[in-house]
Amino acid sequence: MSMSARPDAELVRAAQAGDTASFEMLYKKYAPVVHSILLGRLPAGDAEDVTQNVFIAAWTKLTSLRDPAAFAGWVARIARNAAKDHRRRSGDTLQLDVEYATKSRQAEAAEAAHALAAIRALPEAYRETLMMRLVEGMSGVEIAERTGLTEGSVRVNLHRGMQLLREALS
Amino acid sequence: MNEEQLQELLSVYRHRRPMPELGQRRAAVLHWWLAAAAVLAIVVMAIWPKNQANWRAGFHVLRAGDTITTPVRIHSRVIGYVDVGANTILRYEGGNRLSLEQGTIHAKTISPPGIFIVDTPRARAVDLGCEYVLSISPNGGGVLRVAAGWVGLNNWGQSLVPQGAKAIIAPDGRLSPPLFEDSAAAFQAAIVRGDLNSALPLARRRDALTLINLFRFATPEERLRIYDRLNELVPAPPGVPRDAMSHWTMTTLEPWWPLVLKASGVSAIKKNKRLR
Repeated sequence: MSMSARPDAELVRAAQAGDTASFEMLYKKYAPVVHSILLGRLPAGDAEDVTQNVFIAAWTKLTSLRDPAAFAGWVARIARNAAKDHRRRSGDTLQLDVEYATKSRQAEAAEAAHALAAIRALPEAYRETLMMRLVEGMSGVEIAERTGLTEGSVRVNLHRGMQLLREALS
Repeated sequence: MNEEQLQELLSVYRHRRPMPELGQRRAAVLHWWLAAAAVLAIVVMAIWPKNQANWRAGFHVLRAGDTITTPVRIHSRVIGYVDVGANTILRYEGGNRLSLEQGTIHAKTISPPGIFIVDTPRARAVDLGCEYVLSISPNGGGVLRVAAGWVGLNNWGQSLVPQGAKAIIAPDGRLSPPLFEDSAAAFQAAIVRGDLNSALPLARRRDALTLINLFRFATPEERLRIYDRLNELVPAPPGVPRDAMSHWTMTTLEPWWPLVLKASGVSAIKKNKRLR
């Protein structure tokens, strides 16, 4: 999952000036992070939709981001707030994770929804890191780079999170 | 299940959408009429009824937080109706959500699957286009009986319950697999107490759905015994050999599921299915 070598700050400055290609590179890099944050808080179908909305909002507000190097934390904050707003506004439109997952197979869908529910029940730090690892398939280095955590913290979160998850699933 | 297997299983949830269409950036300064429209919109939103589902008990419109403790029918044009039984404590949480503290409700829905939610102290019932009766005891345990369609019963576990079946919620929150109402009482009791020795010989062909749900809670040795009994009732397809039980995952059983559903006389969950 190698991404552009261009630093975020450069991509953000170009996007602030209206360069959609640069914003698309930011999207490709951070959509899995945003999606992981949302999937830990919202039903799967909603998480997909809200991820798109987060990036539309980020594009619209990008000129207000004063420190272009702080894009990662900024977009993660938008995602967490969007999840709160979405839950408040549309608590009545929950889509079952298992139903979403039945895009694959029924038996696997039930198991996937079970595992997803177990991850959601973990503390936030483990939950988001495990979503990035297990759902989005990101490496520890990629998670560290895109969340601002140290590689050591990511390793610890993954190790402890996996332990808790195994206990929950056993 | 190891990390790679979990990754494979959960990859169904992976984000794959392309970047959305990007619109024009918002102007830095709002025109005065835009500001006025925004103020008007806020005022309208503040006074507009928030109860989109518009649940009513007779002519009384329910508000979030209302608690119902007397037998009555509540209804919503977009969801359907819920009959509240005697000695029941039911709270309207707003939107399409109810909380059943204790007692019994009978729900019949017309809404698409996944919309109507009933929380109980130990589990959440998600309507998948159906009619059901949910009873909860003061200790949090209870039973869900499905008359039509499917209902998903969720907490840290999950039980998908089809028409003609029920699931038991233990007071500690454990959920039973779906149990057909017409199965032997001794079979049901054995399943609920986790007694495979007694349950397996009593299983009928229709109870295959119950048995296939047992695999994920079983030890490797128990899986072989479940496999053997299930194989007698609904022969395993070639893609599910007995020795696969030693490195079992839920995906191992995929080819068996359609045969089991057919043998159990239930149809798969249909997305966007509507009743009536």
